Amino acid sequence: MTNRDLMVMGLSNLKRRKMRTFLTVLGVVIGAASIIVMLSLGIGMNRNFMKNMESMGSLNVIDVSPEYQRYEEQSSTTSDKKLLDDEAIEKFKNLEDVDAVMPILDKYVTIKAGRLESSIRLLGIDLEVMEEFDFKVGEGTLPTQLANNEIVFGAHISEQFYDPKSRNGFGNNKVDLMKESLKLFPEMRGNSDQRQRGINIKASGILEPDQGEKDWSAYMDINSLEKIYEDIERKSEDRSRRKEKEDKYQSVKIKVNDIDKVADVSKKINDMGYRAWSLNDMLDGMKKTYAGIQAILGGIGGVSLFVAAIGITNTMVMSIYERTKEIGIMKVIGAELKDIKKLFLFEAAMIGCLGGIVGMVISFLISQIINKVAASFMGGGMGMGIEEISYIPVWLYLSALGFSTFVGVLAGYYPAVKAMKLSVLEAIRTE
Amino acid sequence: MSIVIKDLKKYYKVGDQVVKALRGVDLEIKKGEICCILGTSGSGKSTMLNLMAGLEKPTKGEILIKNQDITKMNEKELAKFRQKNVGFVFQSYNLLNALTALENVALPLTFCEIPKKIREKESYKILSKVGLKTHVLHKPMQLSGGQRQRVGIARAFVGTPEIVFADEPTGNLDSKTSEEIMKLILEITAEKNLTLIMVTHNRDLARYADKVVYILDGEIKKVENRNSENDIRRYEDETI
Ligand SMILES: Nc1ncnc2c1ncn2[C@@H]1O[C@H](COP(=O)(O)OP(=O)(O)O)[C@@H](O)[C@H]1O
Ligand SMILES: [Mg+2]
Repeated sequence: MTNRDLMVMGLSNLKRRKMRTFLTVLGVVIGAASIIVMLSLGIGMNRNFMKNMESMGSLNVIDVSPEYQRYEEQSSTTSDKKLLDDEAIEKFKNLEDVDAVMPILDKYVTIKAGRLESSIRLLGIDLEVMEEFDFKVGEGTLPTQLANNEIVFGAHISEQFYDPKSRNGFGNNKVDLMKESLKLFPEMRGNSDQRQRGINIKASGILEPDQGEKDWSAYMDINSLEKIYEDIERKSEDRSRRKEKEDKYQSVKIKVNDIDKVADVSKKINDMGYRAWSLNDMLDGMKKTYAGIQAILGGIGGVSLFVAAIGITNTMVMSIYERTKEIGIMKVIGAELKDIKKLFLFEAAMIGCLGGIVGMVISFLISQIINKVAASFMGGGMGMGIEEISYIPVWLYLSALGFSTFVGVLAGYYPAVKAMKLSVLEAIRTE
Repeated sequence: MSIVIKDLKKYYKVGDQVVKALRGVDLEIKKGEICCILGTSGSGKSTMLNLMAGLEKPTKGEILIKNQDITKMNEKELAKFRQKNVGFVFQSYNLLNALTALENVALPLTFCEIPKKIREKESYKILSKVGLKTHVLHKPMQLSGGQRQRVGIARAFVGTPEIVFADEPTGNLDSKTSEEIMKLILEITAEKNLTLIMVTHNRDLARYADKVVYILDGEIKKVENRNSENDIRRYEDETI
């Protein structure tokens, strides 16, 4: 029997028993729809979470810091310590999947604007890779190599100034960094020389707020910053101080070209003897939690599909009792065993497939309703990064359809084999 | 295609009793022969027919068809064997009620994977032959007993079977219709030159056979071989 004829025959068998087919399909519809909707909630949740994470910082950036050493070890094994120096930077650059590397000189400085001053973190970075690391100016421009001592400030720095001579230092002291003339006073190890003269600096721009550490830092060209400190060190009397082996950079940021590769690269860096950290590490733990939630939600949907599967088996077994004679006749007049088996499997698969298709439509509608209702609860505009709480990706539709069809085949297997093995004579004698 | 049966036995266990439906039967049927099995009810006629058609397994013995022992075949091979070689006419017609006459007749060809166009043409042809040209789209429930059996005959003879088994094909019909049906069966058998093995308990219907096998209590009592040449003519002489 050709597959085409088999399908025609199977479909007409289903059509002949409309009510029963309908009820069985309904069971699958409920099962498929509940799986899709449940998983869509989990996926929606995950997406919102990912979005929040992304707003906290780039997920594909690894922060590298020097190897952590306990105090006792410091004196003895100093020489073995892996240093964050230019050699290390070169090695990072050569790692697979690394897009960009940004060594960071991490300093604390005091900025004075007239009477007001503020102690801030000033990071020396490579200006050329700023864009790769998502620096976005809200006002002005990013600093350039050409102009000397240009600084770009984080969005909230201007609010941090205070008047050291005033009693209530932190008043409303917002400074317009772009207009004021600014002086920089490096904070030195040990004591700071109060008499040192400030260095003139200029704000090139203010960064866009990004809800992260960038808001509270200032950035300038790494070479300029390095030079400032070298100058000071040369001037200071303590020139004879033993120049101990120390990290040239306090930290390094590494941008990986693919979020999925972050863990790999992190591991390599750790193996090299540095400490790597990324938001992704945190994400890993969260992902496991979400996978658990997802499994529970999917399980709830799965139970209803399981019940539907029992329904299919039941329907097909009933169908055998009803069609015993028919099966017997077909066998006598030339049906092969595989024809009978395929016929039953096909009918069961059709029930599953049909249920899956209708389930897709139903779950689409339910998902829309959930999102509408949720939106109205959150006061109209969703805003604030919270988007649809139920999200159905195409792959979920397709795999739900495939799965319910597969469940149909599985549920139809026992009845199909049973039908195939019916004894011809007994079958033909039943009324 | 000749059929050779050697020492065929079939015992049924009913409770703790053994019913000996066939107690050792030997028989040879030649290709193109019309063989009629006669006997009282319960004598083992159907059992013998079913064994020959491969619908059940004997307790003992051989059934050689085309020199192949069908008792050695498994279910799958038997199904294929029936599909290729065998047509079957039942006493109670056994048509599929959901299908039209045409679809019923086409069903064996469907199983043989013959294209729809061809099988519908063939089915129509043979339905016309059995006198149901105007009823091809009727469902079995819309046909009389005689008409249903005509559909049953058409279904058994459609395509190219080499053997047709008929188990009391006129058992449910009145005598006039029985005559018509019997005439049809013989006509098509002769036309297609195939082997017909037919069970009946009606002595009159055995007149047209080449070979009549008398069976009693599971044993063959007598085998009558007749001159086959004038069967149809003789039949026609008597009825017209
Ligand atoms: N499936 C069966 N189980 C038990 N006994 C059976 C079965 N089939 C047939 N018989 C017995 O075998 C004997 C022959 O039956 P059958 O071949 O149907 O007779 P006939 O067709 O000549 O009327 C009968 O006694 C019948 O009761
Ligand atoms: Mg009988």
